[in-house]
Order: sequence, then structure tokens, then C-alpha cells
Amino acid sequence: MRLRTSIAALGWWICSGVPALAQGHAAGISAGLPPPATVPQRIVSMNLCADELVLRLAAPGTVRSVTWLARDPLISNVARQAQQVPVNRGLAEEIVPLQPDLVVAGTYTTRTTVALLKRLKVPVLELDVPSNLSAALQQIRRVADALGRSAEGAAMVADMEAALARVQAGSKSGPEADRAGAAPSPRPVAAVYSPNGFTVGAGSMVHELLTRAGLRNLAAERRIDNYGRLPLELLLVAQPDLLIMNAIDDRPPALAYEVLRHPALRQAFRPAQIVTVPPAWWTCAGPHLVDAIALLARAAQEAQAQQGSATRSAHAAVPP
Amino acid sequence: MRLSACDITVRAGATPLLRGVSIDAAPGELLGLIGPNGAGKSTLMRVLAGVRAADQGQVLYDARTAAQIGRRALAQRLAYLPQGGGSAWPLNVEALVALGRVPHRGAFGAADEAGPAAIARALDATDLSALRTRTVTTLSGGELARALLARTLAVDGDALLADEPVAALDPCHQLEVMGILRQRADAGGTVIVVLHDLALAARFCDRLVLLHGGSVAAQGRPDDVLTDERLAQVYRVRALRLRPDLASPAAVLPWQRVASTEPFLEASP
Amino acid sequence: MTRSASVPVTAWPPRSRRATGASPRLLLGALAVALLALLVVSLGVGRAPLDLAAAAAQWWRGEQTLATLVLTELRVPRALLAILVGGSLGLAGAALQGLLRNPLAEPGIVGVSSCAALGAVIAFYSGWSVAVPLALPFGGIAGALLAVLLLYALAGRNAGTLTLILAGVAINGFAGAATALALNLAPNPYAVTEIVFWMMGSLSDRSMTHVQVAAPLILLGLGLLATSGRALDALTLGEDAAISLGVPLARLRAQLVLGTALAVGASVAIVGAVGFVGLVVPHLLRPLVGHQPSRLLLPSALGGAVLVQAADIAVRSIPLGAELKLGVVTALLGAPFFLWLVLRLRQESAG
Repeated sequence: MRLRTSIAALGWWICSGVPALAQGHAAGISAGLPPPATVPQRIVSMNLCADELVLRLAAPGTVRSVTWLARDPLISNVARQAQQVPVNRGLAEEIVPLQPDLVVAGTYTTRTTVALLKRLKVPVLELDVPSNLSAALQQIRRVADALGRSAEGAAMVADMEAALARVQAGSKSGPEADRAGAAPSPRPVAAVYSPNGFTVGAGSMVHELLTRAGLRNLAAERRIDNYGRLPLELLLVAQPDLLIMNAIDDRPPALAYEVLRHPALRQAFRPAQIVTVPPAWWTCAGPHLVDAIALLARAAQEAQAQQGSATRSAHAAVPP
Repeated sequence: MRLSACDITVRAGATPLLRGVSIDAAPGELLGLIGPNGAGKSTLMRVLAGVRAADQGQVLYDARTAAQIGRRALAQRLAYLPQGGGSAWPLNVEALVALGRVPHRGAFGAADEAGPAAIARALDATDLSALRTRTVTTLSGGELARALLARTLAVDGDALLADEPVAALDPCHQLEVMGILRQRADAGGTVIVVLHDLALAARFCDRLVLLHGGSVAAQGRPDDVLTDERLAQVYRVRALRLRPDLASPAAVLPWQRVASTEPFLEASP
Repeated sequence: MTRSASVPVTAWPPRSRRATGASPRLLLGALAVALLALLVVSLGVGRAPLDLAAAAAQWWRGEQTLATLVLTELRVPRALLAILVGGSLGLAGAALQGLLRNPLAEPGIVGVSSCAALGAVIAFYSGWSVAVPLALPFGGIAGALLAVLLLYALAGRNAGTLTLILAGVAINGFAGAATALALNLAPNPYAVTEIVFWMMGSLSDRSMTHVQVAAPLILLGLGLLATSGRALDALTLGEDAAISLGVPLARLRAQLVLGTALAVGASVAIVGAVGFVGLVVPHLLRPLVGHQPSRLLLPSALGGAVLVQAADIAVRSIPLGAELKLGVVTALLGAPFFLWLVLRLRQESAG
């Protein structure tokens, strides 16, 4: 329970913050592996996002180990599957005895173990954090190829694209657009608020999820780059239509969560305006990204409906 | 105020500092507490001033105990000058002397009407009126001693207890301070002073209490207390006695340390 | 007459100086005016552009708008806490200095603030304060109490500057290590980085809930400290003389220990350990009150509030990306000041 929160936090931080470094690498970095001559039979994953792809795509019985985080249902989408597989903590002493023929790791974590594995000539596939959807889909394909399961990878990608198309079609044919003659309302503005008051700027995965869901990202409009803080005052004054937060149970406590519980937020936003997204849905590349978009899209539609019908309460003149 | 100590015993752990000490001080009297180092004079003073509690025995102020009188009331009537005191902060002389009025000040700085007059009198008596705005750190040793004495005078109490007020002063200032204490006693106060200087003790005090090893070796008039046997026994000295003139009392000057076989030197009168 | 080592006359320059000080009413009035002015400025400073006058007018009329929300939920708590915390640190500094008869005593240097932070960290990260909000300030108070008691045990009676500073070093060292341990063991991974808040302090994003939880305890502590003036004056002459002047010494110690623990403990629990306020403010004001401990108390409280309020305004006005921590500003002012003070004391004791 405690660890899930910790890793949710870390995952959230990594995926929303660090992509600033990956901005120029939309296609993602990898160790540039050629397709394996044989299909790997002893696959080890050392990274939460890799866990999901490996468990979903690999042939049954070929996965030797995944990280212990994969068993936490709050941050992992494959918690059930992970119960059947031994877990590791990314330490070299755990990985090497497994004699893996493919290790999937993240580019930013477990560096020393990866370096050791490479010296031992173990094939390592390094995954970075994709900063947009197409990079995520590419990553899925690449992992599938390395696993020798290209067909399954392609199927997953196809499913995701289809689901995405449905979601986007749904939002475009919302009740507002159907009303003949009425100009479509402007897309609602959403602000993503994370522990310590961080938000996500343009060029990050979450930004794309928002955009595809039919929302405008407050941080992008204010030109806050990928990894920036949004002071509480500015958030309130900007009056976004939606406030989007991670659905984290905030025990155990941390000062980082204090700003998320500030009484001013409860007073400034109606409960309907606050959207919580399970962290597992938008932390890693995988099918749940589309679920996140769908959730956001529904919230966007409701916000648009509110905009259209309800009169805005008079707000004090606040100079822009 | 009449001060009586009845059978005072004070222990530090297992060691007795005072044993069954009983003394009496009356108004108008300058009582001298004398004795060698470690005799318990300062301890006795602290007990008399109510600063330290005795393990046995009690101190009565006008036949009442400190508890019966009340802490504040006692503080208004009894002034204590500890040994080797100073000021933690660089106040000016007037502020230092004004500290003597603390027992008379109300809880929230309520007015102390008699204060300014008492302070002025105290400064006058110690000849410090000209120095009232000087910072205490700029004073000489003698001036600081007088300022601390003025502080006790400002309390305007009936009793004044001074522990070695002249220990590090030059002769002029020693005589000055003893003169002030004498005046205080003559004006009706009860003054008890601890002294090392036998000459000053014999000259200025009405009565002496000689402490030795925590108990009273003798008490009474200086002539009766400072006999040759006592001096030899308690202080292990022999003294010269000089009489400047027939009217004045004899001056007692410790002259020679006592070894058992040393001949005794007589001074020519 | 020798000055006894037991009551150190701290080495002030032996120049003849009028030490009468300014009129107390004038000083208090000036400080109060400064505080009010800074309060108004503080309400008007923030990341969001806010028309203070308009917002205040709306609030007065009972309207609930965005501007009044920002004003009452964000800026007012911040300003109130600045006053309470600054007042606590200033007053506790003056009172500790009076009790220990040493101008270097101050909640930060002697370890009271860091122990309070330790208590608050334990109360917060263990989850107690989630269940019982009052647990947070009480954790801080418990920590501060421990520190003052330790300090008194190590350096209470007639201890010189050296012993006092050493005791402070020891207590600070212990508290810092224990806090780091507690944060390391805390279940939440953010905890380790949050040591910066606890050690440097910040008024950012405090809410009226924080004010409600801490203010009664802080005010109680301030009351206890503020009424010790007479006794502190008497203590100038040393403990024995003070007793003979009617000061109930044990009761005074308890009063000051408890008062410091309440005021500083609750402050640190909400805002983190802000240092040097209790050192700088009394030191600057002491000559203006004729060096008398009783006259220093109230001005130090006001002066501390002024200093912290000004520092908080500075923190929000400096256009850096990340908001500076409050303790950074006070440390930038206070640490050089402390160095200068030590140098001066050394010069005086050598010369």
C-alpha cells in the first residue's frame, strides 16, 4: 500500500517531468537491437512500463521476472498477471542468476545493473518514456519485435488505434455539435495538478492525451514547459474548466500533497470539475492510455455541456 | 526588622556546611559575620536572605517565617547583596539601581510611586548621582561595587544583607562602603555583613559572629570575640592591637601566622 | 571588585554610551506602524494579479468571488502566519536571552527549532496529524520542549557562552540526524526531499486551517513569554539576587520553557524551522531599549513579525523561477550577522 503510492508518485514524476529530455526523440531511443535470431525464452523486465508490455505481449512461460511494482494494482495494469511471475528489484544480483536472454529496462533507472548486464553481453532493450502517442505505439511495436511477437504487437496497436478513433469520433459528435446552426463551444481548458503543484506542459504524453480528449492544456497556453510548477494563485485565477489530478490515496502523507488538499481548491472548483485519473492509466505506454483519453473526453463533454447551458457566476474582474 | 536564625543546619550531600547555627540581629545593629575560608559564612547569608532553604532550623523575620510573610513582601523588606555580583547586560547605572525596585513594581509595570525617590536617595548615598547615565561596563571596580550596593539600598527595606561587599576594593572605597553600611544601621536598619578584613570588622560592627567549620565559635562585641586565643585557634594568626587614641576602639591587625613555638610579638602602644 | 564569571558581563565595547534607549512608546508605535504597512503590502503581493482594494471591498460586502477567495484563503493565512511565527521567534529569542543571560541564545542556534521540526516530522509522516490535525503542532511543541529541557540540563545554570553554543551544536546535531532518519524511514518517497521545507521553512500555500490549528497555541505561548519581563530584569543581577528580589525562579523557568515550547513548537510545525530571527531582532533592538530585558520583549515580538513579513514579501517579489524558501532569506541576513557578532565578541574578549 505504501509502495504503490511511492511508485505511483515516481512514475507520475518520471512520465510527466522527465520527458523534457526526450523532447527531441519522439521516436524514442532503444539499444538498437536487431530482431532476435531466436525468440527469447527467458525475459526479464526491470521497469514498470516494460513490465506491462512484456506481460501483455510475451509468450506464456517466457517471462522470468518482472519488477515488484507490477503487482500493485494502483500503479500497474497487469497486477493480476504479475502475481504469477517472480519479482525483482532491479538489482544485478537478482537478474544475473536468472540468465536472461533478453532484459527490458528503462533508460533512466537501474543504470548500474544495465551497465553490468551489457558487459556480460546480455541483450538489453532500453525503453525511454514516450512523450506522445505515436512514440508510445512505436515503442509497443519495438518491444513486440524484440520479443519475437510482432503480430501480437501489431494487434495491440491496431486495437488501440481503433479505440482511439471511437473515442474521438464520439467527442466530435457530441450533443453540442449536433444542434444545427449552433457554433461549437470552445474546447474546455483543463489544468493538470500534481503533488508539489507541478503541472505538465506541451510536448509531454499527458498533454497529448488532453488534446486528443478535446481539452486545452492550461499549462501549454501559459507556455509552461514540460516540467514546471503552477503556483496555486495562478491556477485559481486562470479558472480552468477542469482540474485533473492523479487518483492517489494520499496516505502515507507527504507535504507534496498538501497543496492538492488546499481548501481554496475545494472552494474554487465544483466536485464535477475535478477529474481524477488512475495513475496506472497514463503512466506507461499501453492500452490503458486510450482509457485515460476516454475518461478525459467524457469529462470534456460534460464540461462543454455545462458551459453551454449554465450561466457563469459573476467573477470579480481580474486583469489577465 | 529583627532577624533570628534558629539552629540552622545545611548539608551539601553528606557534608554539613552549617551545624546548629543560631544568630540574632536587631534593628539599628551592624552585625559582622566573620570566619576563615570555608567556614560557611556565605551559606549562612544565603539562608538568612531566604535564597537557600536550610535542611533544619528556620529563619524568623520579626518572629515570622518567610512563608508566612510571603515572597514578595519579604523581598520588599529585605535586600541581599550577593558576593561578586555583576550585571549581565550593560545597563546604565540608574537602570541598575532601579532593579532594586522590582519587588515594588506591579506585575505589568504598574507604577511604583516611591520608586524614583528611593532610587535618587540610593544614588545619593553612594555618591553616584553624577554617574547615573553611565553604562555599568564603563565603571571602575569601586564604582560598580557602589552601584550594586545602591541597588540594595533602593529596595528601601528594613534589612540589608551584604556578602563581602568590600573584598576587591581599594582602602578608600572600603571605608566608603563600610561607612554607608554604618549609616544604614544607625538609621534603624538591620545590617548583616560578611567580612574578611578583621580590622574593618572590629572597627565598624556592633557585634560579631565568628564562624568556624560550620558552627558558631563566638559571638558578641568585637573585643570579646577577637581575643588572642580565638584568633590563634580559628584564624591561626596573631594580631597587633593599635589604639590611635584613647577615644577610638583598638584596631586589630593580623600580623603573624601562628606556629606552635613562635614567640609572641608585642607592639609598642 | 571582580566581575564574577558566573554572571558574565558580555563583552560590549567599553565606550561611554548613553544607554537610556528610545522612549518605549515611540519604539512600539514605530514597529506597529511598520507591521501594519507590511501587512497591507503582503496582502497585495502574489503570483496572481489582484486588485487588493476591490477584493477587500467585495469581501466587506460579503460577496464570494475569485478575488476574495485568493485574498481570504491564500493571502490572509500567509500574512497572519508571518506575524504569528515572526512574533514567536522574536519574543522567544528575547526571552531565552534574558533567561540564559546570553545574547547568543536563540531558538535556532540552541536547537529548539530543529527539535521542534523533528517532533513535527514524526507527527506528520506517521499519519497522526492526518487523523488528528492538532497532532502536528503538538508534535512540534513536544520536540521544542525536549530541546529546551536538554538545553537547560546542559547549559542552564551560569553557563558561559562556550557551553551554551556547544549545547546548541549538540542538540542541533541530534535533531538534524534524527529528522533525516525519520524522513528516510517515512513511507512516502517525497519525504526525503521535503527535508528542505522542515529545515528552511516556507509560508507558501498555507491555509486558514493551519492558522486555526496553530494560532491558539502560539498565542498561549506568547502570553506566557510576555509576562516574564519583571523576573528577567531581576535575573540581570544573577540568580541569587533575583531570588532575593522575589523572583520565583523555578516557576519562571517553567513559564519560559513552556512558553518557548508552545510558541516556537507550533510555529515550526506549520511553517518549518526559520532561523536567525530570534538572534537578529533582539540584538538590533536591545540598545534602543536600554538593554533592559523587560523592555525588549514586546518590541522583539513586533520586530520579529516585521522581519518575517518583510522576508516573505521579498520571497514572493524576487522573480526567480522557484519560490525561495523563507529560511533562506533569513539565513542570508542572519548568518553573516551571527559571524559578525562572534567576531566582535572575540575582539572584545581579547582586547
